[in-house]
Amino acid sequence: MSMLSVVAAAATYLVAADLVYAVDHYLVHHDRERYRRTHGRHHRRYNGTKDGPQLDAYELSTYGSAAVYGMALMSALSLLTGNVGFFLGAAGKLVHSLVFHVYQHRWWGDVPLRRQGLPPARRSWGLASARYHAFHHSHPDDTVFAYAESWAGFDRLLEWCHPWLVKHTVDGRAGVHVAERRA
Amino acid sequence: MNWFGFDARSLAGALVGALVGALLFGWGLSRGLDLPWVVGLAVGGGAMALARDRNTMRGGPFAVLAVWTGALTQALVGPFAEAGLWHLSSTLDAKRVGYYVTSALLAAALGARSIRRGAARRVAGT
Ligand SMILES: [Zn+2]
Ligand SMILES: [Zn+2]
Repeated sequence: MSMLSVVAAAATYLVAADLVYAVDHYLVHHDRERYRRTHGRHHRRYNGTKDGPQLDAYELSTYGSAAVYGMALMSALSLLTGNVGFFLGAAGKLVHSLVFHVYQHRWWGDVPLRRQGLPPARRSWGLASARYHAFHHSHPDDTVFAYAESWAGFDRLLEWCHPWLVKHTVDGRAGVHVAERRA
Repeated sequence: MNWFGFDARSLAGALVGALVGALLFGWGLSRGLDLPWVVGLAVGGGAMALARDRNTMRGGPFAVLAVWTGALTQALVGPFAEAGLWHLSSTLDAKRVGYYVTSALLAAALGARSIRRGAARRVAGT
């Protein structure tokens, strides 16, 4: 097995996993009940003054178990294909998810995020930066999407699909709009 | 929050199924019968028999369990034992890839369900 095919497999997994993460992040923002029960606390926390660890138990278990789930799936794919790259990519995603979330949450401090006046996220096709992610914390429902964790392009594609896709989300089917959602 | 979505009951069913599947698959191999998908059928069937609720997410780990159990079994018994566990892929031609994929799909599709009529849906993360 060549080094190149291992790297290609790992990269394929990382890109595919980030697409899944970004789409699920979009979906949880369009499911009022699930947002309230799970992901909403992430946004609430980072919009207050810092009063806890960078990643709390909920965040550790969400990001951790999602990444371990991916590692389990990829262990089987690596075994079947004989290409260990899929598994290494999934292990890389675990590190990416945990380490980079800690890094990305560095805007969280004594001044609540919304009062820091961060400039809005730009509609970029590049890598999703830490500031891009921080803007999503303070503006969870902005028309510039910032759901992606690594490639901002997924957000541009989601924005493009949004008018059609939103009708198929839980809120879309129930006829819930953003304004009522946060009420 | 936990994405795995199985409780102790469905997991116990899947594990018992894996053991039964390994015995059947191994017994077949020693007699020249190559039926890896029997493992997926047993894993999924076992989970489905014991589970009180339905959950799509647990299908993934059950598929993984079926693949690993099949691989371990053929590394221990039968004509593929020489290749060992880590070189499973060297024993796979198109037909055997199909068998393993079928095994994974059976484990996922059956394992996500419950034989109980009207079983409630278990939401991952709660
Ligand atoms: Zn965050
Ligand atoms: Zn969010």
